[in-house]
Amino acid sequence: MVQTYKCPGCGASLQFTPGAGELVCEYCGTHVSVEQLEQDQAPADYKVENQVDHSKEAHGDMNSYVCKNCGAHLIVEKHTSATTCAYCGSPAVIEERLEGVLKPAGVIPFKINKEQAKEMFRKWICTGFFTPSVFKKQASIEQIKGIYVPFWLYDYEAEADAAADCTRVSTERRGDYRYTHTDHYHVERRVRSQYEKIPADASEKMPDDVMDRMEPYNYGEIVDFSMPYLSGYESEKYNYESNDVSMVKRIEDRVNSYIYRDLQSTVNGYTGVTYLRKDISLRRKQAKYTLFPVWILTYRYLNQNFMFAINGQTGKQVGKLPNSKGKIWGSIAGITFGICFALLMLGGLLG
Amino acid sequence: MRIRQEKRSNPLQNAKTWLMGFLLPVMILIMNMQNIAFAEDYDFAEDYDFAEDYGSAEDYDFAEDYGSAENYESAEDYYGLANEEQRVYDFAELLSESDRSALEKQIDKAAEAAKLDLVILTVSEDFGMSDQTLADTFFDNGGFGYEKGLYSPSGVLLLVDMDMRQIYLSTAGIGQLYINDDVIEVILDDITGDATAGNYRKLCDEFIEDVVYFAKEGAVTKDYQELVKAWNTGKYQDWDEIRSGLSKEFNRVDSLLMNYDEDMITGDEDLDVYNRTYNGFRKVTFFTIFRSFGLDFGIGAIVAVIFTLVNLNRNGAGMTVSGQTYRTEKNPEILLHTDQFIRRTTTKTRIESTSSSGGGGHSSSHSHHSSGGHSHGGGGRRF
Repeated sequence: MVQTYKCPGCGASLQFTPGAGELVCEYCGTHVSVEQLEQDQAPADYKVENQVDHSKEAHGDMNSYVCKNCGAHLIVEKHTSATTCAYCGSPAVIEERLEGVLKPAGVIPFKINKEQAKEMFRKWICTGFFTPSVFKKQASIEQIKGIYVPFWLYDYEAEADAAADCTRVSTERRGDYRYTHTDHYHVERRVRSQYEKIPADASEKMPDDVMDRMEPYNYGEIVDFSMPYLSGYESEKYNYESNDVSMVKRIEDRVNSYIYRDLQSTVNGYTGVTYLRKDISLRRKQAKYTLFPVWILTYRYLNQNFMFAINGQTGKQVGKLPNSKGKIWGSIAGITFGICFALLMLGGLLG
Repeated sequence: MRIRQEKRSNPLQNAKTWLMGFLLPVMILIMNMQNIAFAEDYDFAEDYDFAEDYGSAEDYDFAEDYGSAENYESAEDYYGLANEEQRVYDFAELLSESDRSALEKQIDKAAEAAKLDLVILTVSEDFGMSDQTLADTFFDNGGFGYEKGLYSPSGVLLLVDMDMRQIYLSTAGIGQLYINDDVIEVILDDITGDATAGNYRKLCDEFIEDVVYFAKEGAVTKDYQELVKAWNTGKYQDWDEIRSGLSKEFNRVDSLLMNYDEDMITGDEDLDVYNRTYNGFRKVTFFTIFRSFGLDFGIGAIVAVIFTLVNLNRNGAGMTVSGQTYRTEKNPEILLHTDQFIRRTTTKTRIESTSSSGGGGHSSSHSHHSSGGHSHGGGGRRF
């Protein structure tokens, strides 16, 4: 069942506005808090007007619904849990994908609004030294999208057990001779660490390396999940379960590296360390399904795809700008001859 | 909706790039051209001929000027015979009359080409004098020298001492510049073989040829020519006068002399020791290395490449989190921590005191003063 929140004042669609921290009507300016909408839910409202077309479910990962606002027939992908109508822009929240076992444990609502995101992107384009000028004009900034990306937040307990041969080298000089002392030690360590809420995105579409770089999120601002937060944005439910093989590998690789670093940090003051034995054991304590806000812009230049992402809460930016070959060569030539000329003048005058 | 550019820097950046890329190389070329000397001031080797061009010995009459070696009792006798008209003094009678006359003619032409006087002297009896003294005094007494009458006549003298079986070359005036110690060694390499084999005529021919070659080699830079010109006008008594720039036409010389390294001359009226850099008289400083286009280009290219690599557009922002971010406690919990000392191994090495080897030498002329008060350079070899 698709939910669109209506303004009590004028009947237009309500969207969650980052600046206000609640839903605001674009037309009449009425503010409605998330809690109010939760309470006001009348289940009967939408059964009639918005229906999910079950007949299409058999066709693979596509579902469709009818837009409450303009009557358009819209297709949604298998994992989409919130979207906006492609025709009238009216927000739609797909309830069945957010209820019961699919209900997120928490969400960080958007803190950065669309205008701010566009401004950040505009500024970022100008930072590249070798960005082609043509590109700077082409980028279509309007297509920047606010997405709630599904994450699993993992709590792990890790233990590392190691034994090593360590050496400490010192030298001293007595008379005409230099003495080099090598002290050998047998070193044993066992450490344990508890890690909590390590995030890993559970969306296939979102590139993992970009999502990883969005970290850290401020967990203090995680709130209990409530559907109105999603109104006006795209959202996905998790594509992979928390114990899915690929998710587990990814997160455990990370935890392994963390506990290994912790272990190494306890071995200090030696010149050489040779590990004889390293055992790491991990125990997953729990995983919580949470939605994190991200502004995404994908663009294409000279047959290459680029993605620019902004952490919707902290504003951290991740992205790659294209390099203009012409500018690169131009700058190499310019600097080379510039320095060459300057040095020649120097040599001619002072040499 | 198009994005409006906030900065109008693009046209300016492009202009800068084009400026750097094209105008600069042109300017560099122009700069470098000023240092290229032109050879029209000098004769070329083709211009002067060898013995084939001259007539037979009967044309010349100085063959009877001196007799055989037994006639002389001391070195003074040699000196007495030195005169300005003659250049070949074959007291040891190693050459035939035709050889001598031919060589006189050769020397005439060679002196013009090299701007140095050349004298050939052979003796069979050195009267206990050292070759150096013999050669230097002979040269001074003879009043030889290109541009005679000036404070420092320039020339090179070849002495073949049959008594000691040594060849000695003596240089005077600017001859010390062109024919410095290294060049002397090269010439000796060339002619010693002939001396051992007894080909004295060939020896002299080679000597003349070599002197001309090296004199021309040395006189290439334009700066240097200016200085020599200034010197040779005879207007100046000493270097200070030139330096004080009395004559307008030598202002350029004056500015050249600003770079003149005073340590290189002793202040004599004669030209003493100097270091000949590829610039001629120019003083060498740290910045001189930058006169090489290749080095400058290399430095420029390296800096440009480094700058480019550093500024290349990369993936914005790296990972900023670590285990520390997600660990619940500030530090990991340590369950076991033992360090057990096992053993100590020691190696002993002897410390050598290092000695430094001597540094390389410059190509220079060591000069000495003859009794006549003029400074000469020179070098000799047994054969």
